[in-house]
Amino acid sequence: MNFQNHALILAMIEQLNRWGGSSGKTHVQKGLFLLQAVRPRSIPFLYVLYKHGPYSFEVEHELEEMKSYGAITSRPVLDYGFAFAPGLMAKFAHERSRISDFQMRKIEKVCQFISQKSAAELERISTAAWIDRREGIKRKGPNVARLIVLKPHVPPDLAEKAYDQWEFFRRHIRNRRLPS
Amino acid sequence: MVKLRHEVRDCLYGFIEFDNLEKQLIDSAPVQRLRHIHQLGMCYQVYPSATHKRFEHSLGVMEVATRIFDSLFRDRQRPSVEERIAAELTDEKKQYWRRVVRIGALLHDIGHLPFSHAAEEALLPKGWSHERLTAEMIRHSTISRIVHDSRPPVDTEDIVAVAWDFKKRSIFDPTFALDPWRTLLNELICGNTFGADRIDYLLRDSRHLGVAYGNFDPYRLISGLRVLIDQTNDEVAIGMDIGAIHAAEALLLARYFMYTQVYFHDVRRVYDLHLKEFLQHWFPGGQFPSNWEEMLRYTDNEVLAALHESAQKADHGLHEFADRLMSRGHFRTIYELVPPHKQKCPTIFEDLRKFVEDQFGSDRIRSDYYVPKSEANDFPVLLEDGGQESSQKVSGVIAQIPSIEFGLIFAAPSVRDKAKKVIDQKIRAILDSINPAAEESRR
Repeated sequence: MNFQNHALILAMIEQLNRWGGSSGKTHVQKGLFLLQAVRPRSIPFLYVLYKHGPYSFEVEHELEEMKSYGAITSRPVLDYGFAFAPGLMAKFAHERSRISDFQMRKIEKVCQFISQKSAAELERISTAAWIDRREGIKRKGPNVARLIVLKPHVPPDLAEKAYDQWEFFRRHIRNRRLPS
Repeated sequence: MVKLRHEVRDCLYGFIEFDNLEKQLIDSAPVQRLRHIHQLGMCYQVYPSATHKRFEHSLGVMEVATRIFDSLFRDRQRPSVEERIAAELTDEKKQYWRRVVRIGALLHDIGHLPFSHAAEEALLPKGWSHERLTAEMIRHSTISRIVHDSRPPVDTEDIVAVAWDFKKRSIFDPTFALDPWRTLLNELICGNTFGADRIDYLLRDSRHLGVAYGNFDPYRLISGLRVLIDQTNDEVAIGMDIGAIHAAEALLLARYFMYTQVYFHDVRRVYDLHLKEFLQHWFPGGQFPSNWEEMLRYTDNEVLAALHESAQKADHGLHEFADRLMSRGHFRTIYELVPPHKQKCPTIFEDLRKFVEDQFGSDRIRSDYYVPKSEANDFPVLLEDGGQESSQKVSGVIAQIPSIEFGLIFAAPSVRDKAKKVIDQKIRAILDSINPAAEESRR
């Protein structure tokens, strides 16, 4: 059992809960991916391009493991789906790991950025980030075109918006706070 | 007169029909080889009638996949779905994809090693799996020629796209992308919840083993499947009409019981471990060939012959390994992880395993652990008013089905009693150290 990985995920869930909005599976998955996209060494999980954009089966596995001993709990939310919250054994994972203040600040900023976004929006943004970082397509036009190939149902204006939001995130992750 | 349609009797679906192209594929060496691969490995050591093979399962998956395809695409789709997939459902294209689905379902298991999953991870070189071997055979074996020569020809890459579980394929190649239509067809065969593969193996295994709890109503289930736009992520997905939710509940409960009672049965698991050890010593270099032509030479029959020979000769180099399998000399269970233990001490399984290995030596202790999984239980449900909701909210039954997890520690028969006593004492000590009040009251 890798408690360092559990603590990372837990920190993401705690911050998502702090910022309000959703703390469901998609937000945890895409939040960790966006952080990996800008700081590859800080997030150790393998991501693949799956049905709904970048996805980590390792994160999925850790979430299940964390649920099984009570580090996190999941509860249904009003609109659709589920939200994670720290569980009774969250302390157990924290006590066996260490997350630097620097890393915590980055997690906090990612959560600030994603907390109010919908799951569909996050999938588009993280796919734009994947196309940039993993496929090396950095310019807006080709990146947007590729996103539409991967997700043919996404209208061009939303694909462009996703690229812009990824650019915004990438540029401002270094700042102390994200501009509103 | 040339016969155009063929049929075979099946214990689940009555008759399974197929055409001349499919007959050629069924008669090909890669598919015929499946007649000699046990569906459940050495599970017959626990459930004596678990002797069915991958061959009949493959025919069954072809039948179920066809029924799902016909049910999903029989009528006009809901408008939101129609605009996404209508281009693939013109008469000509629909016939093509129906054929791809049938062939993909028939061939989805041809890359299986002897005794199915028992030793796959340990025996194949890194990066290989039975799914990848399946894809290699579809692309390069006699199958490729048969489908290319058919009229109209079928693209082998389309067959691979639907037959190779997308999840496993994306782990093999993280940058691989599958378009939404092929993703949908892939889910139809390989999907965790309503995939034809899963539906058939649950029904077939429970029928052959004689365990009633693996049964459910496949006809109601299939008729209730719908193509929906998943509201969480705006993607096309296979969901369920609310009217058939009870059939889905029955499937997921069947899955839960089959995993806990059959697939993760402790004696079955230890047989897999012993078989893996035998095969690692038997295959040259400790590995199975990843060359599909070489692989076709091996079935359960060759392995069983080697096991018999090794078990009969006391001076055979592999006698000890074979004897455990052939004379019921398997290691015995001394600990089974239970949720209350893990919730009190998340590291208890690892702590106990190390403890007994230190006490008795790693050659006399074995362990097996499967991480919890519950991914199959969340799917979109179409409500009567046209709205959608998560299955976990609609169904209290589905929401309460536990994750599937197990942890097992085994000891050699010679130290079994002593190891059991020692591990029980250690468990008490670990749990008491976490709950000092309990220890106090015991004193």
